[in-house]
Amino acid sequence: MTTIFFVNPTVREILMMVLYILLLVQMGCFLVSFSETGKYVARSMIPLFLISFLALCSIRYVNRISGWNPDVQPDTCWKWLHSLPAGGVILFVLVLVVLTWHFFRKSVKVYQNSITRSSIKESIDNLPAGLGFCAPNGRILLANRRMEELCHAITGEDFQDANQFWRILTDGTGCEGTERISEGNAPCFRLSDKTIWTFGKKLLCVDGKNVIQITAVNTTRLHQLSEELRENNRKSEEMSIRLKQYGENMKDFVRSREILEAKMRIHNEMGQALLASRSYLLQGSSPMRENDLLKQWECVIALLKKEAEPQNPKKIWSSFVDSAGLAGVKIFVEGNIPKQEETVKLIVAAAAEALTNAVRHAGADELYMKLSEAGNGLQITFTDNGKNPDGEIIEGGGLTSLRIRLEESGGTMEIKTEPEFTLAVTVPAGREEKC
Amino acid sequence: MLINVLVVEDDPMARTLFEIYLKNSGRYKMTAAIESASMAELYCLTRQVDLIIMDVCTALNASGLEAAAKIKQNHPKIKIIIVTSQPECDFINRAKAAGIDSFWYKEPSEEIILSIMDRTMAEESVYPDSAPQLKLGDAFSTEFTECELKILRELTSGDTDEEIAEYLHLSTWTVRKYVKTMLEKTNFKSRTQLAVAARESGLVIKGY
Repeated sequence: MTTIFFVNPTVREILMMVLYILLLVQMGCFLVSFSETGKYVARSMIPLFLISFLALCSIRYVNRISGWNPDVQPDTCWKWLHSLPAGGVILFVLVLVVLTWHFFRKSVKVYQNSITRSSIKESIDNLPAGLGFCAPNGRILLANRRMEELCHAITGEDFQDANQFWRILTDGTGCEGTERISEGNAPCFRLSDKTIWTFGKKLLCVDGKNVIQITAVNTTRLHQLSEELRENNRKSEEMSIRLKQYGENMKDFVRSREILEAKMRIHNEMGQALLASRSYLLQGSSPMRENDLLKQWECVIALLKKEAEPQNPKKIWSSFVDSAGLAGVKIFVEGNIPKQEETVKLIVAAAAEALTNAVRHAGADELYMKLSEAGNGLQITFTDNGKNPDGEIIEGGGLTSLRIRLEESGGTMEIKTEPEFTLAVTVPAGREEKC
Repeated sequence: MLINVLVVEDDPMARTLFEIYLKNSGRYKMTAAIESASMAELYCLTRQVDLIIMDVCTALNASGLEAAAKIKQNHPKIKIIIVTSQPECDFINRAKAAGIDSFWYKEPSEEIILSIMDRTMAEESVYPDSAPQLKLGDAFSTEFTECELKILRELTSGDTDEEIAEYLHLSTWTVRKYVKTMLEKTNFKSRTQLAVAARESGLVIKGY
């Protein structure tokens, strides 16, 4: 069995090199673990270090004695060292390697889990957000890399005075290429790289001392989404307005469709009349059939006459006055009826209600209207020649509907009973349109 | 004795057609034919009116249903027939609730309208069984619930979900849920498409 003394010197050199490395690693682990949480690892490192050191010294001793000359005889005092089996020594060194590796891993864990100044700095440097802590006088206590970059990008200077930095954020202007998006307590800047950062400031109390915390959050995506939302809302509002206009136009469309259907009906009736006439001429006559045929043709001719009438629609107001006249009520107007269609429609709605109530409750046959300008609209008062009401006027369905319609259009309605019954309404001036 | 009829109809051709029907009947006489329902009660007060044939959508945006309800309240002896070409599903229910005697969907038949007038004057209430069935996208009008139709009616006016919710005393979330359900039923891609289709079909009409 080969002893360590007679083994190839290269093997001893390798073993010594391994032990040197182990000693260095063990020393590093001891220093890293020398904290509250790493006590167990540090304590374990001391005997391991001593054993490794002794092993190194022993092999060095043997190596020194033998050198490169295998004929040199060992000293008697440390002879037992020379007679140690080489395999056993190698195995022993391997055990030391394994133990050192085990404690090295433990030390790494201790290092990773321990909170130190450097670990705190490293941690906040890895934050995607900007973070800075400072004293009330603006002196920086701790700031991460992102905050320093942001300060440099916005002010063009290093992050040295937090108060000055905050003043620039809230009131000042940033460097060229940056753009302020919002002001106030949460200032927001767009940087030259198109990213958007929102800043915040908060006063903290740490161990009885005031500390100011400044944060910066990347809100680029949030702003993009807000922009998209604003754009969608704008489109939605436009669509609502168009839909409302469409609803208004739809009334005319429905009316046109009804008229077209009526015309189709007339043409159908004319076709039937023609067929009946042909049948009458071919098959002979009877007085009953003759009368039916005549009626059918009278109907067709009347409708065709109506269809052929020139399309000259009456104006809304004159149509209303004519209708009232046919009902036996005269309307007297003081002032000018406006030309705006929407305004006239409101006036006619109010006049129709006033007219009906005057006839029903007061037995009137004349309605007096007085129009005068009132602010941006018109005031119209309605009186009649009927008897005054005996008691208080209670608004019925008609007046209530009128009030709602007027108020929805921006007008008002008031009922007075003294000195005579008066319905006073105001209507807003509409756009200039055909009437 | 001839029965006096007031025709409230904004379409002049339809008015002429009614005039001919009444003249041909030998039983009815047209007292007057007016364009707007807002003047109907005035004629009831100043003229002898036994029967009113009233359109729903009349001139000056006056609702024939509202005018008819008011006349029925103040002049219960006057018979009223509501006539419309609009298939708005709620018109029948509103007419029934207002106590209106009869309801008729416009069609080119003299016999049918005269028959309805005769039956109405004979104290009979004539109503169709239901509103005409329409198709909205992939869905039939009968597939919509009452609440969905209410929201659809407001949707056609271009109101936002918040405005509809406030008007109908619902939560915005509920309105959105109903709109989503209707979009799923009809297979329309947007609320605008749904609103336009609903308005064009006449399934829901706001303002009358």
